[in-house]
Amino acid sequence: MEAPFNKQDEIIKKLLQEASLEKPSLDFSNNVMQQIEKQKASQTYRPLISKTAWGAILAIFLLGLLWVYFNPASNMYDVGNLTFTEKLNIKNPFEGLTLSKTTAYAIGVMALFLLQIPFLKRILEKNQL
Amino acid sequence: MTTSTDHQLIENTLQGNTQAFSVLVERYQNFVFTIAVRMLRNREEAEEVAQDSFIKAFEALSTYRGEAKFSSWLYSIAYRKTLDRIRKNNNSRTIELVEDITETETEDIENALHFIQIQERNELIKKGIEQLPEQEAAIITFFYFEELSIKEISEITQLSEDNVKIKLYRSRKKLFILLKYYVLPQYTNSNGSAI
Repeated sequence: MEAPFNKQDEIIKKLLQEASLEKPSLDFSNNVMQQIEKQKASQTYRPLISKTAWGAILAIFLLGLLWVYFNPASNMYDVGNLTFTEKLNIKNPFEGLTLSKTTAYAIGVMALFLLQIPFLKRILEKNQL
Repeated sequence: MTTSTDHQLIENTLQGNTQAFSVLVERYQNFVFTIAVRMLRNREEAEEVAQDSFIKAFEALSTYRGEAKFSSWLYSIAYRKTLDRIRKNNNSRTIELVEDITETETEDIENALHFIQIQERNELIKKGIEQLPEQEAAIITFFYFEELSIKEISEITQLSEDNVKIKLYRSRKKLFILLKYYVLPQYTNSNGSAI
């Protein structure tokens, strides 16, 4: 059993070594390096917080300052009238609602089902690729 | 500079000298490309996959811990990328050959090969590898050309060592049967089954 094996081994090895390697196109390494440079550039020039976001943050901050300037608190513990919720008088629309156990379970399972959809979608997309 | 070790080049690259990586690309591009071509059988796609492999290696370079050889680590990236591409194309190939090669046939094949021009021999072996399933095409190239050990191949391919051995055995047998068809047609004409 071993003898022809070794023989085959030798022959295949010789053939494969003889066959040498395939060569990619001449500008292969240039292409690779170009893409790497491009990626590096796009990585360094993309700040975490964009300019518009900084603008918005600055605007909010300045507005806050102005608000504090024009509405100085006479007493730092007096944070103003917080009873407006009572005045609004919003009633809980679900106050009188009672659910049977079965309905509660059904809603729960439905929620779980909806939660699964993005995961299932991802799996499907992966398999299609 | 030409004799810089892989390790020095990796260090340099990680320190921000991107050009050091280009030396690594040039050092390994032929083998990475060969693996991709032999598995994919399409030069254009193989070139894309090989490029992606190097870019991926560059991105992941900081995670390379130096436990395995850099080449093995790179090959495992290339191997996985190529398999991904094959799965995406959905064109994996299988051949079933149930014949056996006898000892005399092995010798006859060897003798016949001596009389064939080297270019023709190269064509022959490439054709043979093309017909192998992609995993086996890669494994046989890793083993016989790059002379990697079974252990290294099993790490690259994420297959068990026994599995690698089985695949090597099978691919060698298949290659021989294919060689037999090409160089000893008198053996196969009698069955009337040509490839």
